[in-house]
Amino acid sequence: MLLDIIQVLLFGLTIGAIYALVAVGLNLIFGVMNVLNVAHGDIAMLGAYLTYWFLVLFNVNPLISLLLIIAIFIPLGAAIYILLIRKIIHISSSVEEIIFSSLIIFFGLSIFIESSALLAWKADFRSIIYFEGMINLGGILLSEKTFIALLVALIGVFSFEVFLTRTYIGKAIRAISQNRVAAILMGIPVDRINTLSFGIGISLAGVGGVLLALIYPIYPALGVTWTMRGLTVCILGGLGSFTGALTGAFVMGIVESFGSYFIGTAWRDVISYLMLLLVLVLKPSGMFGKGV
Amino acid sequence: MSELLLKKKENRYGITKSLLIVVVLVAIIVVVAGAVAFIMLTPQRPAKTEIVIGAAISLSGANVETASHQANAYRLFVKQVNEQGGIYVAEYGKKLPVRLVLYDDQSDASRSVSLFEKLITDDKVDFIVGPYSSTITFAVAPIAEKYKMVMLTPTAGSDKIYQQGWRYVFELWPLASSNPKSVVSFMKTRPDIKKVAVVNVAELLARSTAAAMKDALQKEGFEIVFEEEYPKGITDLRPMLSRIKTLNPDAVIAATFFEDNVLLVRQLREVGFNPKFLWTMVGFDQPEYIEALGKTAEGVCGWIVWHIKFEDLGYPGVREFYEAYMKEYGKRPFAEAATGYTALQILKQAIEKAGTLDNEKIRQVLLTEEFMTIIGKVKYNEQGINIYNVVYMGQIQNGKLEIVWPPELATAKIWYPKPEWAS
Repeated sequence: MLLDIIQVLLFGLTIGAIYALVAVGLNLIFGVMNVLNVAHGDIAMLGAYLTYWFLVLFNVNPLISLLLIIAIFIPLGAAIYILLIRKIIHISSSVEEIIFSSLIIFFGLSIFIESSALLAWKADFRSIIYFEGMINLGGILLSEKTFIALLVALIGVFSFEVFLTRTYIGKAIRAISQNRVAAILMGIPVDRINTLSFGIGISLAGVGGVLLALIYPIYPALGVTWTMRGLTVCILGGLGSFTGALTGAFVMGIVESFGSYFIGTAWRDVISYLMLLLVLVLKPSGMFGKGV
Repeated sequence: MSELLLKKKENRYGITKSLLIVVVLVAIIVVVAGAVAFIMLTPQRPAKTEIVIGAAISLSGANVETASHQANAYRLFVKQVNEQGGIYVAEYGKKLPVRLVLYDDQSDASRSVSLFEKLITDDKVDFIVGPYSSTITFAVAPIAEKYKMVMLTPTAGSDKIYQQGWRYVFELWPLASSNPKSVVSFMKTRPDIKKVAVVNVAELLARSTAAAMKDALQKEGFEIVFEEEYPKGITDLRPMLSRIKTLNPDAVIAATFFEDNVLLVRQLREVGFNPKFLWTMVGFDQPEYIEALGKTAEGVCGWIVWHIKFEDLGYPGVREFYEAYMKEYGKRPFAEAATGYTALQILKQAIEKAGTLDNEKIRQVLLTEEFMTIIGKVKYNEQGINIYNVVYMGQIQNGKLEIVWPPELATAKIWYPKPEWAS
């Protein structure tokens, strides 16, 4: 029984780590710019396809692809910010206006990315077979790919945490999400920090995509599931908060796993959304949210 | 006086010249108007130059991966028919080319309903063919009924659709209730299978299949030790599969769709459980399945709706369809493509046999005649169910799909029990 519980806890942690990677990027973008990126899952889908193509065409190890994807997605994110978002932030007179306009833009971007992927790569399912080994830790089983996904997600999330707390740029990012006006008055180059934050947020989604490619079949409509998961986790943990996204993701993963195991998988969504509702009733801004 | 008399004499009939003109004009107008009215009011057969077939299908949204194959098959068939000059219609005494009107329902049932209504009332198509999936077909069928339009449904296998007393809906996809036939008949031959776990994804077809499986298994005395439905877009099946592992059933029956099928098989291996018999559903007979699972797929069983292997069963046109599809779209056809193609094969044969484009008469032909297609023989009963419907069971052996059941139609002997997971 104890072994079962440890096993289920491990399931929760591994799936939670992937949720965390997706949610942290989403929350970074929201925290800094009040922009709700509903195309986040679609960006992850692009990352998954790139991993697939790098492997199929050039036989690139997915872990190397991961580094390439970070290098590609930071400028991609910056470009999305400069082309689509910067103007909105400048002309909007209120936070609500930014949220609303960006929601429409990203909804459009989401459809654009999905439809382009459909045209470019057709609707077929694609999958990669990599890291197929099994790890047995004294009766507790884990596949190599899940273990690697867990490792990558943890390293990704915690190096991001170090970046946020220890570097000047990281501190500037936190300053802007805490108090935008004060940050401007203190001479923080908001526009540059926005661009960078966007790049980092998008690259985190791309890294998430690499992990998805290892575990799930890849197809153009893959994004929706992950945008929804990411948003739910962010709202649970508190929109705009790093700790919130992280805690929300692991809480969600673990509650889902135990719910599936002890109550039934059919109840997975009922349980997780009930938990979300409870948290919102008790604390409308989410577990670590900065007040609405 | 004499002048007046003279004038009267000239007009013997007592009609003045102006009156004569009026009378003649009126007569001309009456004749012309009558002729025009005659032409306009006479029911006249408009010169028919083409047969228009319409459908709404999921060209985007959640279903697009599989639905696009069905749409491709519609396009391919129409292209091929037109290359042969069209379909011969006796009532017009000639071959008429076919035009296909396809709309995108974005995988949304309510959108599909309004698009089908538009096809019938606005575009005035001669025939409709089914949309993608049981769920959407179920929503659209009342429209076919309302306008008395025959609808062959390539990808709607939920029994519920054919239990509504609908008269114009004709199925092609194996019914959920017929799925258990081959599976249970196989399991009965293995006395060491006693405990069974049945799971399904929350989709109409998968749910009906799981229900039919449980029903059939219980009737045959198998013990169902675990049953569960999991949501669409599931991200992790390991907790559920661990539960199954602790119950240690002999067989696992999984009514899946593609993504969760791959996830389920991968994660069964991950939790370290290898049942003696593992049956999965959608995705299993698709070429991408083996590519997705590699060696992990060895020994997994599943349904076959349509496969190139059918040419070994002697059905005509299987190889030709497969190669034409490959040539046209650069990829192998899914079963959805084959049943989509079959729908139009049957419609063409029915039009030729009926010699008319009248939906009521086509319906009569569908109910009385037998059709030979790339999925085998098709003959409908009053419910619109194909009485020859067989669901084959396949198994992945040495990286290839083989038909293993029913034994008289098998291309290879089944591997039982399932070999250990590849290490």
